[in-house]
Amino acid sequence: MVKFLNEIKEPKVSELGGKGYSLAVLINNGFNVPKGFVITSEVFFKFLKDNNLVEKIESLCSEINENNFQEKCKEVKDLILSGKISGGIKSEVKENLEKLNAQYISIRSSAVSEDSLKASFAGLHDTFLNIKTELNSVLENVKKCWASLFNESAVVYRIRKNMPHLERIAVIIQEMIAADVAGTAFTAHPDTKDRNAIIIEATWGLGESLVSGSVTPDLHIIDKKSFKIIKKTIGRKKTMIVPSSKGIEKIKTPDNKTFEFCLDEEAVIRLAKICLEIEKIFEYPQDIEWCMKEGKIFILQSRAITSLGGEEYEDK
Amino acid sequence: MKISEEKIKWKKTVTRPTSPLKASSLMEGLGKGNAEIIGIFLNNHLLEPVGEKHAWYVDEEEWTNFVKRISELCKDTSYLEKQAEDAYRICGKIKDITAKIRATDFQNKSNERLKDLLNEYHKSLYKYSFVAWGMLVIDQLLVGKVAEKLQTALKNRNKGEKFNEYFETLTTKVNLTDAEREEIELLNIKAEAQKRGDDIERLLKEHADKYGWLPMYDHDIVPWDKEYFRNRIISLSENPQKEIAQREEKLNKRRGRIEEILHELNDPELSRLVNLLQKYIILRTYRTDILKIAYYNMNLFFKEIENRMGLEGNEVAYTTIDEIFNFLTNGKVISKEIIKERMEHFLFLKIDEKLEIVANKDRIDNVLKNQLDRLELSDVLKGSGVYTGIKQGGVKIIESVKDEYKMHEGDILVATMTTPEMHSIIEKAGAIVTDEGGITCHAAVVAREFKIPCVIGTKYATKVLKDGDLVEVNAKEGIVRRLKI
Repeated sequence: MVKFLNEIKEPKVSELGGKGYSLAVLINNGFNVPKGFVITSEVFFKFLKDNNLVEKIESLCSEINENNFQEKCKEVKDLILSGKISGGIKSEVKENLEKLNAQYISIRSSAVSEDSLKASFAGLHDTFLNIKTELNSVLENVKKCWASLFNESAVVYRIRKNMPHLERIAVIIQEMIAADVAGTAFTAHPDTKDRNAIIIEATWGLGESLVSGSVTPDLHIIDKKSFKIIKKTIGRKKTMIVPSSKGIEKIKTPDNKTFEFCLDEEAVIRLAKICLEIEKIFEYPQDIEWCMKEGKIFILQSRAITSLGGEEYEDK
Repeated sequence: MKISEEKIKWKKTVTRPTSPLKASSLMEGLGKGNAEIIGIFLNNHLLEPVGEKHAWYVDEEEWTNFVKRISELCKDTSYLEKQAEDAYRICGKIKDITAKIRATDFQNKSNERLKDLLNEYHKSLYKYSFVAWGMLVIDQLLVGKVAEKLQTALKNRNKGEKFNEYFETLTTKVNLTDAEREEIELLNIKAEAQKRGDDIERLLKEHADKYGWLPMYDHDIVPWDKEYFRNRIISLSENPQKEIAQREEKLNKRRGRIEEILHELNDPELSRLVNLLQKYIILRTYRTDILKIAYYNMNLFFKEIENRMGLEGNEVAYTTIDEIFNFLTNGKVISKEIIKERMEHFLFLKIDEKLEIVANKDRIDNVLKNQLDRLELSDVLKGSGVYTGIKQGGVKIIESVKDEYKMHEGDILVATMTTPEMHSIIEKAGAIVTDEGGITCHAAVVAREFKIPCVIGTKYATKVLKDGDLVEVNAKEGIVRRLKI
């Protein structure tokens, strides 16, 4: 029920969630993903059963509507957060944490529906970064990830999209990479739909500031065939997110770095090549999150680009 | 620490032609003068060279306090009335003092005596700063008050639909500015000329004496002379009397319409506010005119100082008033190179009591980068377009989910960045505009998903735009344009 990413032979979205699935596939194909394990969606359901919460939550979910979602969300979240994690789950997590042997970890939600083509679910569920590897605090954060299924914004989103509220969610625990540079890469242009272009955006520190949009990142556009950089625009990276004793914190970017490219050409092209390989694996243009530490590139996530028009993908 | 390294949150106000002499003469009043009148000072200023003009920035924090204080004072309508009187009085004093200096035989006076005259002039500007900047605030508050009062009055009479028409009528100027008066008088001269042939030399000279100051936004501008007016006469209507009559009729019509409305609504408080607003509308121009008159009157005085400093060709406008005081006190002359550099372009920075003029281009860029992130403010904002499309709508600045109440279907959502919590606000948005972000950030992803035109990374949208501004968001070009209404 808790599985190491590199030991998953037949990855299933229903067990691992969208994010967990893609990471397992990437690791199986030899990409450099921070090592870690998945607390599968079954664990969440076992937890609910152990605490007699399934029916309670299902009945609350059936009552959720546009007018009462705030109080209902809070009710469900409280139920999940006050539930007890059974000894069996605990020892399994403990064992895997020891095996992981990392001082700091990241804890991410991986809902089954979140990365599907129709729903981008951008940032609706919680992620906790740079958490000290200590069993109890890890378990608390795992519960928070589960409870984040009922973040108000996630619930509103599902109401609009007519999706069920109580859904399967996994949690991914990985060694924390204190990145020097991080960003996203799209293996097709999300607006022009140009599938010959790779779009790389980069900023200093962890990628959260880029994903949330609190900085304007550097932009590189690379031609897929020739691996030539067609366009690059320097960003305005006024702040950066870095690991700290409090988890993570936002600091001011040193003045000389704000208007300086984070990646040199060599790194841009190396990254573009990796991204193209990833696209080949998934056979569809990918929206990739990556980071770089001491020159080494890590892949943090990969999913289909949601805005290209989904026919091709859905037919598969 | 150099003052250019201090970090201040700047707020852009007006863009005007501004010489170092003009800016430096007004600075003291902005600080101490304002403090004397309302207890709040505007000490920190930045003037950024923009083409031939300068964009004037004030310290946002000081400005907020300034506006807050004035808003409190303006709750009482009689304060507004008193301020209008005071403004005319202060402006009148500047006119008198500078006219007196103009009439002085300063060529034969010692430096010491010129210093006294300069001091007198400088002091007369002391309280002017409140006329210029305070009025800017009061004016807006007053327009708001009139709108509010009018709304209630119309509501009581079940005529709410008349608001736009009435409001526009009541807030349109019905009194002549000096520039308009000048044109009517020039039309009169043309009529005279038609009657008695070319014998209008004396009239033109009087006219030039009376209105030569009109173009003088700054010290380095040449006043209009007899020849200028002679040429302008040609371009005026060939039937001057008819033209004058038409203009008068138009004004009378407007005045009559205002009287009708006020009579109809029969609300003494509204009448009081509208009459007051009309005074302030004239003050909008008069407070600028008075500086022009002052610069015109001081023109020869500063020419004399220019000569004595060994400068020429309006170079004196590129010195500061302190540098002139210095020269008159101890003969210290500012170098021609510095003046020449300033004439190319200069940046003016005043923080607390310290003043710095930066004329070197690279250093200007450096200071701007440090102070403003090279703020490029205009009616066009550029960013990256996401999800192509063009949408027009009213701006709503969204700082957090708390601002959801403001947002109506089709409004333009303007935010530093968007967050997942803003989901239901985003759904209502006709378009999204952000300060920061790349083409893969949250706002961009959501905009694509909901097919909302979006321009991200405009840098300054939340600072430049305000609630209610009508804008066009062109996501194809990545441009946000403010539309004039």
